[in-house]
Amino acid sequence: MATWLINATQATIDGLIDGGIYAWIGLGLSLSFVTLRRLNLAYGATALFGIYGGLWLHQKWDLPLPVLVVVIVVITLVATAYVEVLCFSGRTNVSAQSGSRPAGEIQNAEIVAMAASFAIWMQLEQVAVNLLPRHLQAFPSIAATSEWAIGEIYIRYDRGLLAVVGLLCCWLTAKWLAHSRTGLRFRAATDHSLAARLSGLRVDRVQRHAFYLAGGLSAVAACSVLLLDGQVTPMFGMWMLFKGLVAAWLLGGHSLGSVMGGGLLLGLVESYAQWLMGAQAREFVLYALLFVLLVRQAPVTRKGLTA
Amino acid sequence: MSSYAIGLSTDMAIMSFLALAAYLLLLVGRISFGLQAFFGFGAYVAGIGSTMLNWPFPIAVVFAVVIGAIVSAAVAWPTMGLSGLRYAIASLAFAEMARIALSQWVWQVRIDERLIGPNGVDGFRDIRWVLTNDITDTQYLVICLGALACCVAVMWYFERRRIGTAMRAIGFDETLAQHMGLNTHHIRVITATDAGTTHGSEYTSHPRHDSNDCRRNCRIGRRTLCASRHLH
Repeated sequence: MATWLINATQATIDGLIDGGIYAWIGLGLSLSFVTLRRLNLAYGATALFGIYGGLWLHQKWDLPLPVLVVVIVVITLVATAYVEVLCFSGRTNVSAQSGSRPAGEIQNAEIVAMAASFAIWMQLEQVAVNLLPRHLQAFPSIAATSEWAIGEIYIRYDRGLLAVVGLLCCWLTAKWLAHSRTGLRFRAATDHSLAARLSGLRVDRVQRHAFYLAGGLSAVAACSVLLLDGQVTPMFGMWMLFKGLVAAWLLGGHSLGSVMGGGLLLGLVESYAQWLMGAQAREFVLYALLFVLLVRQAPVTRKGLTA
Repeated sequence: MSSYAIGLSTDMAIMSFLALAAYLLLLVGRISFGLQAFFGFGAYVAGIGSTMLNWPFPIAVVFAVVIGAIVSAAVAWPTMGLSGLRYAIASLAFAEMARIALSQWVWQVRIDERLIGPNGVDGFRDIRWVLTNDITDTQYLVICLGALACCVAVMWYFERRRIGTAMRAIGFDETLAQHMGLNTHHIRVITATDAGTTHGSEYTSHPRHDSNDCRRNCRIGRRTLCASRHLH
């Protein structure tokens, strides 16, 4: 087989595997954004805080791995509640009352919530770093020591399994939202919040639950990624946020299917960028993609405002 | 005044520049998480001008201001049509692109037995304009405060003119401002260019720029936002 073909196949497989993981990360962010109509910039930082808190306890008491994962999820949920109370609680009703409020005020409420979550991101990250000051922290690893080889193509089956679990998680969440009664409440609170409120649904409570669910999903996704990586740095929170953002918005972010597709596409683009231009280009392409995606929406926004 | 107080006052003056730039954007209803990119561009450009090319200090500052304004306008033109939330994320993405691009840039020249210039992830070190010109801490504080006073005076003047009223109108309600006949996109781009100008000029006289560190960039962004919210 020609070398370029082998490299292209390898890049495609690596990209799809990474993409499955990105879709999982994007799932939580998308869920909180779609439900609240607010962007939680502390999404990655809450997971980072949970991980550093868990690792700190692990270093003190040598916790078994399953207990460590549970502790991380619990700490992340506490941090998520902290973010929700400080940044989003009480501000989530604006969309339900949008009929009587000027557009500028609604947009300002969005920005205020986002800026507040940005401040909490910095706060949580700093607390995590103060807890464990070393830049690189070891995380218990269960990564496989071997790879599958098909001819000259290598597949890390542990990461492949993680990608499949991630995609499965997205699919099951989509099914649950589409067919369960709780899912119906979520959709009602998201799509027709005023009607949902008038029909007796406690929209703020539903939104809060969706926010916590997103926090829990982010913690599980972060643990899964780190169990294979075996190490974590303070940049992990930012990494999670950006991967999640691009995965969620790449194909519009209007459904969980688009989040899955966006994650896979992001993985492919990054993998090809790394193959063709090197590791730094991989990161650059991620941000460039996000920037271009957003810029492409600019004329639509302007048209909407004119209309 | 103790040297600690002088150092602290100088830092406060520099942070005030940052806050003023963010405040300008807040006037037109936008929050930018990417202002630190213009801070970095200004620092690099002024460093290149004053240290590597041996330009007189005022010319290096003007050069940094012009580059800051051009980059800011180039970024603002396609992004200012976005909603506030999307604009904030786009600005953050741009800042990260700038950080990665600068962290890949290596261009060093030998001056006085020392390699000086952008050096990849190590940033741009050994900018010693203040040290080589024997500027004392107090003189440096006076330079910073003088520049800050000029900047505040210019902003104070324009805020009380028609352009200032237009900026506030857009920040209050964009749709209403459009109905009044204001070209909201153009005014926002002009405001962002002004903010880039402020950012491009603010750090140019600092003796040492290491403006290419991600955590530091985030910290700068956070301080900028906190301070500007107090102003607003």
